[in-house]
Amino acid sequence: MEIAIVYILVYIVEALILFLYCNRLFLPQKDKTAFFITYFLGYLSLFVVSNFNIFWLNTLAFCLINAFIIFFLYEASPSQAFFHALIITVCMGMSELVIMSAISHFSYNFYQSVSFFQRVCILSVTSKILFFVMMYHFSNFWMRKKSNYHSMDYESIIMTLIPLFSFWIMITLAFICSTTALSVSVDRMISVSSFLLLLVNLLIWDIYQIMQHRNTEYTQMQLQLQKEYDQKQYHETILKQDEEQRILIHDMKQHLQSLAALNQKKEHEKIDSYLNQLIASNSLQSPVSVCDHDLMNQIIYRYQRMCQEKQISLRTDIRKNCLHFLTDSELTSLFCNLLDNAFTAADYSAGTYIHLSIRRHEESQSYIIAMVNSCRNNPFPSNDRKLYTTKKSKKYHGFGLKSIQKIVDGHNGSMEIYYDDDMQEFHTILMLK
Amino acid sequence: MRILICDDNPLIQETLSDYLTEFFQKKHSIDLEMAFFPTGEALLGDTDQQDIVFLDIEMPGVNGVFVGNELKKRNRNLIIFVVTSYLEYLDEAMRFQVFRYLSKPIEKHRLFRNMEDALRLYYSANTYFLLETKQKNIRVALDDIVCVEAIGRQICVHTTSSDQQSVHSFKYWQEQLLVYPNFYQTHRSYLINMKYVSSFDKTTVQLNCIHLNAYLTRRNYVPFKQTYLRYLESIR
Repeated sequence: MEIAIVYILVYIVEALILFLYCNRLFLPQKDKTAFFITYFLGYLSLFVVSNFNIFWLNTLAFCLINAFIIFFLYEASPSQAFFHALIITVCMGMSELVIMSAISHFSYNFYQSVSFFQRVCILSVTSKILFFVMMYHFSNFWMRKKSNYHSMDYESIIMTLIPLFSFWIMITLAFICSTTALSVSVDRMISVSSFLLLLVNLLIWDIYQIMQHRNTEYTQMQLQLQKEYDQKQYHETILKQDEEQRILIHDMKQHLQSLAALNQKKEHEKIDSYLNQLIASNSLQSPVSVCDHDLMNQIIYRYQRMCQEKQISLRTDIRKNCLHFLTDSELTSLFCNLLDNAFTAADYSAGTYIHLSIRRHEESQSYIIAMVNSCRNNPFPSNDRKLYTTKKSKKYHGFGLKSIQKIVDGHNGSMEIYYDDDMQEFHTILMLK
Repeated sequence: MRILICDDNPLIQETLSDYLTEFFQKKHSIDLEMAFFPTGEALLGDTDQQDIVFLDIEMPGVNGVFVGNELKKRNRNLIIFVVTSYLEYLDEAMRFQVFRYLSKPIEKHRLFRNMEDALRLYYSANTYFLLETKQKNIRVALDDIVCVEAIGRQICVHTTSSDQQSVHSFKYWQEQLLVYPNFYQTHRSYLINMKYVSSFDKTTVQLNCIHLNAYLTRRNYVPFKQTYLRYLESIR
């Protein structure tokens, strides 16, 4: 009876691992009820088949039932479903073989001295932990292949230490069980502990996934807010300008009367200065298109206004069809961060400048984004590659560049930053494929 | 070097002339000649050497876009700066390769930086080497040299049209080519022209025009990446 309970728990864990694996790779196409029923029936069948104790039948049933579950519940073609089911079956077999040989290596009389129940608990928990880790890394591999972002998930590699530590704990427990005569209650406690250890591993990874998902959602939300803020700024600027233009027209008669009075007095210099003031007035400026991408025009216009207030010259040279490969969120994140950094660096005196150019490089089939901005001080003080921040918060900085780097990595690109001491200019060069 | 300035505004002509004179005062090895044209028709009538052109788009008479297009047809290596007070997006209207857009009023430091890039491009297109092989001597443009490869004792110079066995040593080619900013030594057996790099990774640099993968030493990967990106910035 107890063995049967252990096997049921093992099959539940296997079903859970399959569920986590498939959810990372495929889109579901059925509702939650269908999911529950299909998984339940599938793994119940496997439990029934396992009672016949025929190895090849078990293996074949495992592979076919998993393939059916993937094909039926997820948006996967029959070949994809079969391929992944085969991977899962092979990993399952490998994990059990590895654990069986590893445990016998550490405790040579494990299979003779330990009771059947204990053996089942220890072997199944350890092999399921290994199985889970293998499936997680496989799913990471397939996800990286499918998605645009090819950056390595270094945290998950470090998190692999948790199952490794768990293996060591399980092997220690196996050693204790094989060398020490334990009472029945201690026996049971060890068996329950090993299952709890397995659950802890699954929970940790699940929580990690949830946190990653929340971080991604939060980042998307921030980008969306940034985009909305940019649009709001743009529209507010348009409205403000519209208002200023109406006031200017209303005041036109008075301006003309003033000019006429100055003309009568023949004060030509004052007339010249007065006219220049009117021409340079913001109310006579209209937003300009600097490229063939609407959102980019909005972003540039916003920064143009900011630069005008600080007397920073912002010039752009954006060639045609150079931005359409970026999504709106990437565009906003990339250029707002680049221009924010440039604006902060150039905001120290009048007459400073920011130059942004974007064009395609045919030979390498890539897009080159180059930004040059005035920068009074060398931000690489120690001549190494680390940038020095002038922001008040020394701890929470560098996220702009990290965001830019992430987008660059996502497009198989490269980034170079350097400071020209002679010209007091900071250069940022991005190459995106 | 002959620079042509085509603008109907004499003030702009004068400003550009002053800035360019100041810029070239530091370049003692360059013999500079400047020519001024008030209209596109006058510029099209010029038949002398043309290396760099500053072209105003908004001129009376012949359209600046048409002028630029015609000039490029005559000389594809011509470097054209489009000078404009029109702030709206222009590139869509251009049917020829514009080197840089300069908006009025012209900023001196921006002009100087762009002129440095223009000079690099100019030298690259107008420098020639005498490539000596056992059978003949061939005049090769610097721009046409893709890669110099040492295969054992033989030195193979890969150009855009052919591969030639040079009688000179690899060290000779190092001395000749590494003075130019578009050449880089990625490996003890490879000198490449960054103009033809299509992609690279930590061990190789792909030169697709001649289907060659040049080796890149691991310790050279970061310096090469930095140099290559700065090169791309200069030719953007």
